[in-house]
Formats: sequence, C-alpha cells, structure tokens
Amino acid sequence: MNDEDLDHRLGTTLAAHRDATEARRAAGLVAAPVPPLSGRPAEGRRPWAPPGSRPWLFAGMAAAAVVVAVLAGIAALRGGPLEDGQRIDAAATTLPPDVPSDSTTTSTLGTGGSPTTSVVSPGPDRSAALWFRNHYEGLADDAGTIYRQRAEVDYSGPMVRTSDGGIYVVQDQRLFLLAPGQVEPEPVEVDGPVGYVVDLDSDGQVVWLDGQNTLRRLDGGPAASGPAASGPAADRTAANGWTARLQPAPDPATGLVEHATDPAELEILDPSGTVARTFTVGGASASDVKLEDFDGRRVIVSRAPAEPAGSPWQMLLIDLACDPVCVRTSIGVGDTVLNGPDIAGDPPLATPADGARPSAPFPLDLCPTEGSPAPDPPAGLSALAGETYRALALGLTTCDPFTFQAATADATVDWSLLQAALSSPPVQTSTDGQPAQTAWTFTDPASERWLSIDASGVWTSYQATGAGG
Amino acid sequence: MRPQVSSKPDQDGNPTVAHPFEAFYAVQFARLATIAAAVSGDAATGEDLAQEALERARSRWATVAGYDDPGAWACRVTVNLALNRRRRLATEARALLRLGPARDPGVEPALHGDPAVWRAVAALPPRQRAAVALFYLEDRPVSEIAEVLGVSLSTATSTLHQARQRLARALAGTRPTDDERTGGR
Repeated sequence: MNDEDLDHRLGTTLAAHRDATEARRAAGLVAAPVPPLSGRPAEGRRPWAPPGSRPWLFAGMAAAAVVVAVLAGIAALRGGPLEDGQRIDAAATTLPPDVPSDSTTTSTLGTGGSPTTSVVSPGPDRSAALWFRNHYEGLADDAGTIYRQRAEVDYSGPMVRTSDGGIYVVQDQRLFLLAPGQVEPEPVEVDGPVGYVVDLDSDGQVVWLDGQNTLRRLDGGPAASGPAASGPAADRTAANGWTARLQPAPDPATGLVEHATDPAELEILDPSGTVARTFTVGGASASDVKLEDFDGRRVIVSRAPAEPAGSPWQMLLIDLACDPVCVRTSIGVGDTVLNGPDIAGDPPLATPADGARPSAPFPLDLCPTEGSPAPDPPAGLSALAGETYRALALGLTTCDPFTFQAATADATVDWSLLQAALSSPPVQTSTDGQPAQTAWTFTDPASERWLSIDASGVWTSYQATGAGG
Repeated sequence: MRPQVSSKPDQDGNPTVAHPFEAFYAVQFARLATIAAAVSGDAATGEDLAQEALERARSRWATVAGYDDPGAWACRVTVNLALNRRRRLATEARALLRLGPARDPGVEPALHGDPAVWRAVAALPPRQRAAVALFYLEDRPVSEIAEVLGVSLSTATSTLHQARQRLARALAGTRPTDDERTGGR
C-alpha cells in the first residue's frame, strides 16, 4: 500500500467517525456538561505549557535524578536488593522513571547508581527479582535487569500474576503466559481478542475485558463475584486467605469521599475479615491509586496525581513483616507484579510499636504542602528577613509529583538573588498615602535585575531591559 | 467545516448567547471522542473519555479559557486519560459486575468508517494509536503531536513512522469499505 492510499483511508475513516459523533451530539444523544457558573476567562492570554515543558517539572526531574543517584548509591553500599524481612526505613531505594513502551530512550539506573541497561536473553535466572514491571524493552525487575526472550512479546501490555507465580501478559490482543520456571512466555489460546488483563476474580482466575467490554475468563465461564464485586474497592486475596483491599478514604480537608472510584486507603485483612493493617496511600494529591499485586505478605500499590496530566506512577512495595513498615518506592509507567508464588500460611506480621515510625519524609506521606515545616533561612539574615525568607519559600512549596513530597522547586526563582536582597538593609516604603511598609529592594549589578520584597513575602522583580516576574 | 453553536431562544423567544464553554464543547467533543476512540478502540469509551476531559475543562474553565489554545490542553488531557485508562479498568470491570450494562443499547455509539482501518489501528500500541489519530484527524505537525504526547520530537517522529509502517502492512490487500458501522462496546 502506498502512502497516499494509506493517508486517504485513515483520514476518511477518522473523519467519518468524527462526523458521526458530531451528529450524535447535535441530536442530543450525548449529554453535555453544565456550563460553569463563571465564564470569565483569566485575565490576559497565556500559552498552554504542556506538563513536560514546565520548568518546575524539569527541576523536579533533575532533583529526582540526583536523589536516584544518591539513594541508589546508598542501596549499593547497603548490599543491594531488599531481602525478605530486611528493614528499609525512610531512605527507600528509588528507581528512575521508566519511559513509555515506544520511547527510544534506552538508559536506566542500576543499583550501582550508574546508567546501565542490562538486557538478559536467553535463559535468565529471575529468582532474585523482587518485582517485575512493564518496560519498553522487556520485563524489568527491581534491580534494572530486563528480560525479553520472545520477539512478539515486548511486555508493554497489561499483566497480572497468578497465585502460583505465573504472569499473564497481553500483547496485540493475544494472551501469553510466562509460567513459573519457564524462560519464554507461551501463547494461551482464547476465543476472541483480549482487550485487557484486568485482574484475578475471587476464584483466582485471570479475567480480562474482551472486544465487547465483557469480562471473560479462561474457562469461558462468567467471572466469579465475591468481595471484589461488592463495593467500589479493588482487592486481592492471596492463597493464604489474607486480603489486600483499597478503600476510599475521606479527604482530610473536607471529610468527604470525592472520588468513589479513586480509593485511597490500603487495608490488609486476615482470613476472618478482620482489618490487620491500614495504610493511607492516596489522597487529594494522589487521587489515582491502583492495587498492583499481593502475595499474602507483600503488597504493591501504585499512585499518581490527577495533575499534571501524564505524571508517572509511584509504585509502593509494602512488606507486612517489617516493623513498623517496610516500604520501597519506584517510579514508572505500567503494571507491576511480584516475583514468585503467594506465600503459604499467615505472614509474619510485625506488631508496630506505639507511635513508632520512620522519620519524615516517609515514603507513604502525601505532599504535606500545607503545614509543612518552614525551611531554615540562610545564615546571616536578620530575624525579620529570615521570616520573610520562610514566607517566600513556603509560598513556593509545591507537591512533587515524582515523590509526593513537598518541594520548593520553582526553577524560575533566583534564590541567591533573593538572599542577596534580604541581606540588604530594609527600607520603609509608602505609596499613594498607604501605610509605610518594610521592604527590601535590590539591584543585581551583574544581571541588572531589580527586586523588591515586602515583609509578607510578596516579591516583584524587573529586568532592566523589560518587565519580569 | 466545524459545526456552529446554535443558541436556543429563551422562554420569551429572545435569542440567548451561548456560554463560551458551550461553544468550546460543541467544537471539541467529536474530535476528542474520535481521538479517544482511536486510542481505546471503542466508540463508547471514546465518548466517555471526551466527556471526562471536557468536564475537567469545565471545572477549571476560568483558567483553561485563558490559554492560547484550550483545545490543545483538552486534547492532551484526553490522550492521557485514554493512555491511563487501563489502569482504571479493574475498578470499572467490577462496576460492570455490580451494575450490569449502563447504556441503552439503542443509543450505543459505534465506530464509523472503514472497519479494516479500525482493526489495524486497534492492533497498534496505545501511544502509536494516539499519534495516528492526532496526525490524521487533527492534521497536527509532528512537533505538536510530540507536545500532546509529552515526548521528544524524535520519539514522536519514530512513533508515527512505526505506526504508519504497521498500518501499511496490516491494510495491504484489504479493500476500503466506507462508512460502515464496526460495532461498539
């Protein structure tokens, strides 16, 4: 087929669907949202900056990369991957962002802290891996090793682990099984296309949505109902009868559950249904939460903020055997599954000591941008200038979507210039009969940038050649 | 030619002025639904995702309306919702189990156009589907596709090139069939 024919067929098909959809809308078959009460746009036109181009996001990425390198180095010094029962406190190992499945970027960070890409094929030993995740080159484990043995399975599709440790993968609407101990995934013949592997049902059977959005399972029977079908929670019961369940949690600010489909609390239930542990894993700053896997002892959940759009997902691995809790974090895109079968018997559940908790920032914490501790001002500032510096820093505190920790990461701020200004003697300013205010004014001789800061932390600056922030 | 907004008269028969968001909605809905349908492979899901993206635009209209290109913002949100959709499917699947079908089959949307094209697009990885929809429906340059997808220009170029190669192979030997319903969800 030549390019012209291809372009014509694609263009006309998409246009035909658009026109048919428009006809449905015009005919009233699509309910339009109610217009907002206030239609006044913000003053002044401004360009839309895609999230990936936001300066502060780049600053966050850069900061995350530094953290990755440092923490990976720490991890290497500590002896590498987490062993069962090994306690990892607040300094959780953080892996770098994965990239989408079709990206051309090829570097990853190994635990040694240096950029590495380790593609293992064929005959890999996967036994040492703690978890596996979608990666654009194959199946990636927690140490950065990538496994890919079968050309047509690139592990970019959805995947789910069964209780015996098998991993089902969807590729090009086909189902494959990477069986325990096997090197290559093998195709699983099912009737019809496989849309998505969604989960295991309450019988432990892998279920998926077919092309008609109907839930299907391997034996052709209907997906079994059970706890999974009784509420808005996502849950998974391991072979030992223990259950990990996501539940909606009220917004701490309003007391309301705003997103019934975006649960935020992880509950661990014993076989009798008693809640043994509860972790807050989602909230206003991480409204999307997904239960990735649970083997009866270790659970993986992932979370992401609603904004900025397209943020990577933070994966949290929680080991119930640790006191008070072991958490490892990783950032990436795609599904994550544990390595190995479900455990047998009850997990060696540690009893958390009263009030015991690793020091902040704790990996499960969610962006405490409100009420976060005021940063210490640079040495040498007066008391008033120091308070103004704190007000400035807190005003610029945002939620880092990579770590869900509060971060003062506005790359557009010249902190050295602010410090220099606050180091100058304050002046009393008065305009248009208003009461006099304490302020600092400063002109940077190098950049010819003029800066004014009032005592409440509001600042204004101008470039000598034009207006600025 | 894109549809124009027709404001309904008020109860006294006087013409009313449509809210700017209504005009935005009328222009954007079909294109966003088509892009989302291409990524998700399902017409009804495409409409749902377009609704969600436009609802997000509505809820922060004062800000979105101030952008130079609010449509690009809505397009980005739609594509991201579509690409992230499978992460929500576990919850949605359970809702299906609990609630059963939520739509009236009589008004169920369907994919229109050449069914072979839709099948070929559905076989692409999701991000390639998004690139194809943005390129052929929106006629956007690759640089804008890169911005919407949040990838580099070279990645967007490569993604689109690979998608077109796969589509050409998939469609080779098939005959065009115009404006045929290919089924909804």
